[in-house]
Amino acid sequence: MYKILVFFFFIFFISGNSIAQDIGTTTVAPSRADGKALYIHCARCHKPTGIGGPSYGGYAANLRETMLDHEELVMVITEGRRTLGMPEFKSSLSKREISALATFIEDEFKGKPLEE
Amino acid sequence: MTNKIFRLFLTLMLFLMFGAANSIAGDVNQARLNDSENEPQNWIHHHGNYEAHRFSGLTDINKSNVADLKVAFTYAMGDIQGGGTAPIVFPFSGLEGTPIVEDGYMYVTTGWGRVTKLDVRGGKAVPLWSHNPEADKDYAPSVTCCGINNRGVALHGEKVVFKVIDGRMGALDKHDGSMIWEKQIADVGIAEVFTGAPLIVKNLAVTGMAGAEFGVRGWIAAHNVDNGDQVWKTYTIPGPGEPGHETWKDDYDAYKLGGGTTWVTGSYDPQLNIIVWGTANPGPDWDNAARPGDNLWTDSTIAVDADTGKFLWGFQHTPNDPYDYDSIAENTFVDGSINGQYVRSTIHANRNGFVYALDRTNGEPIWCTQFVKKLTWTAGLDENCRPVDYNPNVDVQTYAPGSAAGRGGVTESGARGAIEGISCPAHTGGKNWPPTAYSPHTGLYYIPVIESCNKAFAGIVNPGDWKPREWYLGGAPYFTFDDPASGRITGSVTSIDISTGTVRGKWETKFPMLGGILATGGGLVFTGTADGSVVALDDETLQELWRFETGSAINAPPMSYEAGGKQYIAIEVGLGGAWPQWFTDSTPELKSAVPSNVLYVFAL
Repeated sequence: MYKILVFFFFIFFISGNSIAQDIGTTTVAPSRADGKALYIHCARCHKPTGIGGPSYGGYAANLRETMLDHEELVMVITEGRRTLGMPEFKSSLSKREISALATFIEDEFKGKPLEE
Repeated sequence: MTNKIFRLFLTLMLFLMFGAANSIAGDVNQARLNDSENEPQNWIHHHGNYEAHRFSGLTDINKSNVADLKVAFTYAMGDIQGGGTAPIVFPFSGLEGTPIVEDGYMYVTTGWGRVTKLDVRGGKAVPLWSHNPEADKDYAPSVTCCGINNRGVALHGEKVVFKVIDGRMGALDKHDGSMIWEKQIADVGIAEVFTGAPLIVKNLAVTGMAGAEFGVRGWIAAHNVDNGDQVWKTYTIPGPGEPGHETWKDDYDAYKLGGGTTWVTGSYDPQLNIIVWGTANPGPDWDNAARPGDNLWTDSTIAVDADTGKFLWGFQHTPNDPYDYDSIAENTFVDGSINGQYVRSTIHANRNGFVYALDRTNGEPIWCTQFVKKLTWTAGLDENCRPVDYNPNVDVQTYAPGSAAGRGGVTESGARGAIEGISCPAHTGGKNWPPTAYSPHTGLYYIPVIESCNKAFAGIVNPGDWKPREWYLGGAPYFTFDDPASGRITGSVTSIDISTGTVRGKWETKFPMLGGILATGGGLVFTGTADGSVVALDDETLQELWRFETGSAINAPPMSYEAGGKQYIAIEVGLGGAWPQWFTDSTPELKSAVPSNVLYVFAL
């Protein structure tokens, strides 16, 4: 008798696991958290603080002073700025990721001077 | 009674014999370091021997059988996580180290400075102990330009001498990894960091340091290997009153922030008792008008007395450098006939695209040769191996027109200079830190080449601009991939005939050479490519004889050892360093390279 109970508990736990996996695969809209994680691609030149300035990667713009709107940010991240040494990211990031990144830059940096 | 005494005597003699033999085998002493060629089964020097030959005398793996070389075992080294905070964040750490092997025991380091001892006597890696220095993940990497790096340890007596990126050096007991001493030596508060391996000279642990992109003044220091006490410290930039200080012609102490760091391991000559070391770029890197004058001894090969650190001689490769052409590369000692004359030379392949032979007794040039395909910053070198485009009548050099960035009349602090430059080779070199190898059998010197150009602009630096732990570059390099003038960067292994100073051959590669080179008595040259292949070349023709694809990227030099009567080739495979962080725009395929931290060991 208890063997059957153990069996059912076993099935129950397996089912519980697969239910959790089903929830995980539901499509989720791009969140601010995605953009923050993606910013590592930008941080090496634009710095973790977004202020840019010189580095071995060139002389990146200060994102806190950007005047670009969302569409323009998406365009720059997608195509890069070839003559100024900013690489393109269309080869490595999806459209959803680039949009999330642009949103993160607007929320985190744009128009917000660095507090000393 | 007599019988007992006799037996006691015999026991004592046996004990002394075996006890003594054990301590001779296990004790890395000066005699063994001086004559390391006598133990080809071991690799007890970072660069292979004191002369930095990176040559293994082992012959079991050779031209006739290398095609059968295969993976014997691997070891996952861990520590792949990144670190740093403003101004620099690294997404991951990589592997740039050379393993040390003694009597079937291997010592390896990760970029974070973890030291692991592996028992490799049985043809696999059995970890015996691991020392984690627990470097703070934010503080040091934020000010290390070029990766979370550690190029290896050194052995002395029964100690393993180690360094950590955060400026510590110390010694562990090689039997159990326990700490003997540890000292804070470099000042990370002003961006002095450690990335290279220490050099053991008699009872000294000698170390260089890094930080020339952050406005430091370079030095070499020697510490007592038994307790870490400082014995001597020599700045590479002479201070007021010292010879050479007059080549800093400003009146605002630019020399204090002038660079000339020393981040690759030097070489030692036991007979002359000198240490020869290469120095890095002056700072600020690109705004050379901020530091008028030749800026001795930046971009130089220098020799110091091993006991006192006293400066003996220097040779500067690129005076008042506007290109970031470090001269930190290893110095390879070759004794023999060059152009018909016996000489004790030091050979050095420079970032600036020229390879030099100097007389290491006095620093006088013997020959100098271009080793890159394209070189535009000077029309050539004169009979003293000085750039022909050097202008002795000015304090700020521009070299070949169009090659150097410059202020062009702009003086406002932080503003962009009016003149941009395109220079070949790129500031990455030429040849960067990945080391060369020399074969005494072929008489050839093998250089891992970065065939390259880059653009650069100057950013005006005025007195008072410097802030601790901030970039002090005076401009920046950049690549515009679509522009053929400064676009794709490729590579090669280039061989140089030391006796004549001429280029013998070139094995070209799609990507820059970011690994390092090993030459062997089996007639082979081993290296690893940026796209992850370990290869063996014929040491005369450079024909490719064997290749193994790891699927990652290689940023470390190969070495060879013998254990259990079998020869092995070992190489650390792990993308890291400066290239993936800053320069992949010139090698776009490398953007998708996969980080890994694995030691690969090959055998027949």
